[in-house]
Amino acid sequence: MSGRRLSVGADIGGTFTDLVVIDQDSGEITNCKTLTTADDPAKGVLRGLQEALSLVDARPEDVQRFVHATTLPTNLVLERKGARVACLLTEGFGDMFAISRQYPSGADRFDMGWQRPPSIVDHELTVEVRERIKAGGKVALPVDLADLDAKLERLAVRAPEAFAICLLHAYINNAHERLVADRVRARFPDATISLSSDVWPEFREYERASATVLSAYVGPTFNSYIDRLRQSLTEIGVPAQLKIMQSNGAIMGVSEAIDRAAYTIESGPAAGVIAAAYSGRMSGRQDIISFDMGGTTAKAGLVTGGQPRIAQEVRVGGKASSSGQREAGEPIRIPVIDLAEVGAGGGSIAWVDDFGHLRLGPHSASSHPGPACYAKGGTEPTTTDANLVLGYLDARYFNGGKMNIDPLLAHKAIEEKVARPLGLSVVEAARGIHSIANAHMGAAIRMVTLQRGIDPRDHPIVAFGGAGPLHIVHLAQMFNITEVIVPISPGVKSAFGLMISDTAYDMVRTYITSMADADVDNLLERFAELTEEAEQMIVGERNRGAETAIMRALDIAYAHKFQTTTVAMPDGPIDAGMLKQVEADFRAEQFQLFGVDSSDSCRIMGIRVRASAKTVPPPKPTVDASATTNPQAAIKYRRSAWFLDAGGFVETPVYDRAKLAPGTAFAGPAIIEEPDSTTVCPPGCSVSVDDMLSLLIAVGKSEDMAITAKEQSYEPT
Amino acid sequence: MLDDPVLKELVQNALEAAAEEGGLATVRAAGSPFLSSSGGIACAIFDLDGRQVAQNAGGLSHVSAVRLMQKELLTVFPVAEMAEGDVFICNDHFRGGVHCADIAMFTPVFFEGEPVLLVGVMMIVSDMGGMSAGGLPANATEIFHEGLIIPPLRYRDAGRRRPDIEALILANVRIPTKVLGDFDAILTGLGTARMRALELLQRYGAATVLNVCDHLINYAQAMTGAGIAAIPDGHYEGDYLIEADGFDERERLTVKCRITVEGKHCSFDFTGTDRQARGPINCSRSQALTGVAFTLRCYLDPTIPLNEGFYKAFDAHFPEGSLLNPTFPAACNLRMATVNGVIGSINKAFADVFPAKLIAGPSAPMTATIGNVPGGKPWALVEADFGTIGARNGADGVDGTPPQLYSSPGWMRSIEGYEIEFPIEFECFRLMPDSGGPGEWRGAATILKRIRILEDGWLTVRSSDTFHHGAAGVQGGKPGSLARWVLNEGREDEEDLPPKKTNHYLKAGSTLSLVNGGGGGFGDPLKRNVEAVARDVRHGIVTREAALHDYGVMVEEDGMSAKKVTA
Repeated sequence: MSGRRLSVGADIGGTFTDLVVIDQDSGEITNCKTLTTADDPAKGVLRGLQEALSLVDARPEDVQRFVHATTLPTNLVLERKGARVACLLTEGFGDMFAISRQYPSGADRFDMGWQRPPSIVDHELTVEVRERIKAGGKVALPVDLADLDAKLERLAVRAPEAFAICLLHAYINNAHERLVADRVRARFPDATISLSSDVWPEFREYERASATVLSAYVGPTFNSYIDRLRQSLTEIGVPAQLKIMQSNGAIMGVSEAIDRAAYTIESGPAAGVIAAAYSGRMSGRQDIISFDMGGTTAKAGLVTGGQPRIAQEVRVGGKASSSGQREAGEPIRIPVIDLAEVGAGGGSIAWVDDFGHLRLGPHSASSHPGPACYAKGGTEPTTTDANLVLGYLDARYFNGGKMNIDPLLAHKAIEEKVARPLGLSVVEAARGIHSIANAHMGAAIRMVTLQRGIDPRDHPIVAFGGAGPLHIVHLAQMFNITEVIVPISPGVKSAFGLMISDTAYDMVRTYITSMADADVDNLLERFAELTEEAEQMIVGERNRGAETAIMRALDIAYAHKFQTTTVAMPDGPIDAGMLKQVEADFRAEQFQLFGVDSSDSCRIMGIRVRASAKTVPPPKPTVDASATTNPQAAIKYRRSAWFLDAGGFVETPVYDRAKLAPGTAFAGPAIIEEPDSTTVCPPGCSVSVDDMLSLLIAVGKSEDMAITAKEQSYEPT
Repeated sequence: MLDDPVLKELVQNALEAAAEEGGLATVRAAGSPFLSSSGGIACAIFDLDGRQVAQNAGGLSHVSAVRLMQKELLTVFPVAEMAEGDVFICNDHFRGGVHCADIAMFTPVFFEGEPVLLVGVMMIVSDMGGMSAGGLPANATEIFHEGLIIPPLRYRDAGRRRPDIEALILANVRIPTKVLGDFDAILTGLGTARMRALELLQRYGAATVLNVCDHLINYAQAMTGAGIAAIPDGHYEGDYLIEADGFDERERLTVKCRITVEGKHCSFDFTGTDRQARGPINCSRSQALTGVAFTLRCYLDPTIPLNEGFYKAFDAHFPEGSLLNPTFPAACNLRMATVNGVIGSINKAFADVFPAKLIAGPSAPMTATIGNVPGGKPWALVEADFGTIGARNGADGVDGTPPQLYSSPGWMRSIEGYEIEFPIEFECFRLMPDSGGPGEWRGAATILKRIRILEDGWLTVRSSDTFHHGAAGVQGGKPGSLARWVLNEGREDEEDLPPKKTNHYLKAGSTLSLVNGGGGGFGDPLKRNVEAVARDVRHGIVTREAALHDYGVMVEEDGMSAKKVTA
């Protein structure tokens, strides 16, 4: 059994820790779900690892690669359990987080008692540093060290555990931040120190400072957790170096992660999109929509040319709105995979208001007490309850049969809370709940496609998450999307995504000049500096034989507008011709996104370099020994499921996904079950299984969802 | 076909999503941080009887204007005369508008060859001519001073540009390319909302959608009516004092409101409100209605669909020739304090029945424009402050945050971005000590912004309230601090500017301090929690002197201990 090469991905979520183990030689994939251990998440990871290794009969020594994503930083923020952070800001601007960028939106605007969510910065731990650097980087006022030392001394009684140093214009001249950091280190040798010029050296003081404060806030706990995990892995004999997932969908080394804890926010969902992009690519689809639905939220992302779309800002600790936007939370400026999120999931509660309207959410039964059918005391009907009544879920095979659920409770909750008040049958009510859930989730897909001028019909949807494959075909029909891809093991797709992500580091510098009079030599020099730094980050990977690459990009904006867009630069020497080409690309993209063809001139706002090292992809998944291409052989039994186009309930074959070999094809109505998810394929649609064991569903039109195709194109008046 | 309750929810979602998306598309295409944060972009959908069926949530400060302008539009261009691809434009504040720079456009949604719905978008544009750049002349006394008046006109004819109309408008503005870009943004939003509405018609058919619209309007009216029915029947009266009329700083004007609640209906009668002002602080009828609609929603379920049914549940009377419904050719651009008057007089009227919702007075929006002298590289910086919120019953005002109608963040801009962009430097951007009105619950502290200009330039300042009287305290709370424009603060040549001043010359090196009024306080300051006072001292929001003087609390120098001092 010696000499095996295993890759392990471990994704800690709120309820479950998912592990996926891939044998790099045989291609065998093994999944394992354990409960998250909130007090010490490393314990759950280790327990899961040992369980997974015993499943594949392997030893810790066989683990050659170990990639990890965790919700720990997000939870620290949501639960306000991070470090006591002292925030050092330029004199005159110390009230930054007391003034804040958060404000009431949506229904909160009419709440006259609205309170701002408390900042993670305690105002009493804020120190103003007497210093000033000008916009061009020149020193206007040197740091007053005596004043600083006296202020640090006064701070000592409050025992700060971490420091965030965020001085104006430090992105262009970091000398003051470094000097201040030295003084802090001398006085507080054990504290974690984050500098805004390290965390994200780009102009926009608020977002840069938020990212820095966040790094300081989660840093100590995150670092000690990562240290513990690394040690424990070493102790049990795992030779692999620990790698950490970033919010932008790339992985990084532990030492880099320790300096950049903020970069791990929302990294699990990012890994999911990476997995979806991979599934799409392996099935020959470069441009896809990723759709991830769990218990409380649904998230949609866009992948073009095989690559997920990246946004440069994310709000941390906010709630998902019905229009798919993050409305609250602190904006932080780091690259993240662009996801639209709506607060709709299996746990969303359906209710009837005083005026006879059926409504869904925003309240969720979450995992406690959970949907009524969980029999854990929940009496409110949820989307999951509706799906059970409609026959889409099997009471006996919920979570692979590991969990007992009671369809009578689902029936009762829907009857009492929805059907009777509305004068509907229970089935009609369930159908209504299912449709409204789809309408809510459609908002997330709309946000990443139509709202950006992108036609969803050109994009197959890759669906994952426990509940995604159940709703996805109906959702596709809403948008006239003709193809859906359900990858194997959709319930643990984020963990799988960890193992196929490349290592990458993003570097940025603010560099502002008009595009027409850009000094090409100077630009070259700045790129050369940044590239050298970036090279340093991946030299280790290259020495280990990985294929590496450097990519350059410019941030560009119209001269009279503030919105910047990142535009990739071709390889090769930078010259005026290349800048012209980049400008043309920028204008074309603006036109596509916003329908505006501006005569305004363009400005360069920043330069970016990404250094990456390729990860060797796993071999194709192995096919179960019992699998055949005869679909009949995979039918476990038939059950009654409700489909509009079938006119009501029809006997629907239930397929065991493990028994479907590549090349199998069959028509809907069909339900395909696997331990972590259920795929529903309505009549008029058909399923085929490809080499990757993905289900490719050809989506037929449905009566109630059809939109006339020719009218759907996007054009301004 | 789906069952009714489900269909209704689906159609409502889809209509609201269409309006929301139209608003977002406009914001994106406009690409201005000022617009995206101030929420001044409204997008709404109407049926052919001119009844509103959905509106975006973001465009609250124009919540009623799109609706009223659309009603005016239909009197000039009946639906029968509309062709597919037509776009109509209007800005006249005597026809439902707000002021000249707020431009609204409308387009019909055709389905199977027939118009079925109308969509409209309203947004402030960079300039519309008039006395000063940016369209907010503080010294205007007539609409003609404020900019080009555009009555309802056909701006696109069946999808074709109208070069004549376009040329006329652009000949009257200062930066035609920028204004054209703003118009494009409005068209983008309009096109987006139209497409979404069309999809809905294609999915369900016009008859079904219109049926559901009927139902949704009744539903909103029923919800609003039920909310109003919860208010005890009776008459309620409130008033609100506005300082200065925009022409004479010594004038004092009053907004008066008498509310009659009768079962499921209520009416707001503003008879007794002062006559229209000579200066630009008048509030067009649609802005006054916005104030009423916004405030009423604060007392009801915030999820009531924002459609015609909501408006049917109440009526509002704004006497002709008053501050709230001025007659031609009154100027209206500096109306914000007057809108606060509408909101404040209603809140005061409801104080006894809704003590928990009572809120102390806010300060009003103020803006400064600094631009270069002719000859140099052109630049123009607009710095705005949307006012500061008062204290609530049981909660301090949110420091550095405007009243909720404007809903914009305190740290709105990037200081670094401004310093890169303009020849200016910020000296500070901080909460102003002792600015929040003292009270058991303290009014929000305002922000002190001090800007140093590095090149000679022209300064224009506009504000409309709290220069002479601080934002009112309630239930024994004290007023907030006064608003000020100060040149060269702390220097020998320190000078206070009047609330409104057009084209004041500034030499390089001068500083402008922009300080709005603090929010009013709530309740007796002597009842304030001692630790809350000490915390305010530690946070630099209240000085030790004021802690003693206003709150009767002696706070030690380190702020760590404090005790009550009985007078």
